[in-house]
Amino acid sequence: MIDFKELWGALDWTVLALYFLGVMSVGFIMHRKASKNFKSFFVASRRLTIPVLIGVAAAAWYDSWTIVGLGELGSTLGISIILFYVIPSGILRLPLALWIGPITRDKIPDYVVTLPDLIRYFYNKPAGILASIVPMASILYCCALLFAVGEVLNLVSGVPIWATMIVAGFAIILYTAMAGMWGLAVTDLIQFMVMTVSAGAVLLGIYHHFNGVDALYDAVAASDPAKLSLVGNQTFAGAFGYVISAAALYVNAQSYQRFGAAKAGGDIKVAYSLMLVIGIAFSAVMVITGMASSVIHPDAATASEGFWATVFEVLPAGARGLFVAALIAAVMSTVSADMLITGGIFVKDIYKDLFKPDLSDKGVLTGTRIMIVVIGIFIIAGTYLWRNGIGSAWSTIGGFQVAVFLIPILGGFFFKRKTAAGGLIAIIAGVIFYSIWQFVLGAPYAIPSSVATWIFGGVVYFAACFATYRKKDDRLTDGKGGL
Amino acid sequence: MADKKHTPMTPEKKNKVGNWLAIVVVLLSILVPMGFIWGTQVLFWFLIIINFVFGPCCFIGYLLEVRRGVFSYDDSEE
Repeated sequence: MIDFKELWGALDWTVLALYFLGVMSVGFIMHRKASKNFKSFFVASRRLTIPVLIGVAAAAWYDSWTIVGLGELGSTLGISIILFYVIPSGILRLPLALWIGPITRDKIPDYVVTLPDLIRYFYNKPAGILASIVPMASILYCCALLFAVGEVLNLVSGVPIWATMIVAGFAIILYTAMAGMWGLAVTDLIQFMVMTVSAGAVLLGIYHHFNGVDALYDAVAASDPAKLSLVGNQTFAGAFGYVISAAALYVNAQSYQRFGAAKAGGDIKVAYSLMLVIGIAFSAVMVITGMASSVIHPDAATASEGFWATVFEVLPAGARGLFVAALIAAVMSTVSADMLITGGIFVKDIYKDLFKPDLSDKGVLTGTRIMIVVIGIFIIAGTYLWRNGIGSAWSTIGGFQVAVFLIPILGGFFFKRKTAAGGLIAIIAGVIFYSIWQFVLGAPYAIPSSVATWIFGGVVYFAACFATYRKKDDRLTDGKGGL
Repeated sequence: MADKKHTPMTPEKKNKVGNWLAIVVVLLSILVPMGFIWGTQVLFWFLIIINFVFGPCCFIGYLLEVRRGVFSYDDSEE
């Protein structure tokens, strides 16, 4: 049994306390700026430039899974996870950086600020309302992320995990509700810097621990040579699952909210491409750390315990605090952004659009803040009460949203003959098909439900669009939708 | 306070830089797996340096943006 408390010292606590203090101070400072209107609160008045965008983009795309999750996979699967996850997620995200992000910012009107807004803009109001279910998966994912913070704080402090989750959860609620996107624009960048510097420090520590690369590779080869093979211990289904998981970001509400917060499309292109460069480098470090942990702590109770034990062993006092702060930073930035987006969607796209069309901008802003608190409490409770079911709920609902919305979103951006009816029919058909394929048929022929739904949904989408397309096109029942 | 000497990148230049960076992403996608297979020192030092340098560089860039008024725009505009 590894005694983490012995490795964790006063200097580490000091670093962690300074981090929390800094983040909360930003919330207070940015409170007034974020309180002007919903646009200011939700998309930081669309003023974010390249360096700031890199921080908020990294916060949306890289979270605790990128740290501990990739570490665990590095420990069990070795370098094959580089080939099947790290590289595909870099390449498959390039179209978001090069085309979809800039188009979202430059060619979509300013009133489109949420993902349901975007679907509604491409198709019609019912399609937009259906897209409001997307945040559900994000909330469940936040529960899983918050658990990672609770776990590591529990390891180093011995304080019960429910208490550590409450402290971290309320800290996130407080600064998100106060400062919105303006706060995130500042804290995400600080958090991003903490993450990358910590990654550099831990890799340097591993290098010194093994006194070079060769000894690490020799030790890994001695424990399991397959971990040094690019296809390694992967199964076809597992490898395919990692590759297609990169597509999740195409239906990620955070991605579109970040695009909307940019000053211009060109800023997105530069910032997101740069962020993909560091994303590959950062992820690779976590895989190496996992590989190192499998030989430094082969008897650890879990892969995550081995990962943390390795990190604490190779880093000096103070740097350990920085690395834990990096994990908390990654979680806080993702969870806070999800709380902000989900709160905004609930109030703007569901409550205002369906029940109270005359709700003022100030009302939307206040309502979003209230929803952030409600969602935050739900996340804290959910993390504790349903921790065992969160993973499966997330993969089911997350898989569902990718399966159903990917084709309509891509079609919305790039298909010239899209129609309102085509989009709505494809979304409804996708919901029904996914439910039958996943739950009634049990994903037969080893074809994942998401892939089957893409094929079916794609056929339905194009057939419906061609069938309903007229020269004086009917796309825009809400009077918009063309790019 | 806005920095008067600063001339922002034109959209064309941003487009060009973005395209070059996309090529860098593709090159990294080829070179990083190769570095992993061979277990080279070069890959390790590249990863160490880029992780150490990238975040702080962004932070400096961010401070410059603050100086140029990225956060003051809203106050003066509305």
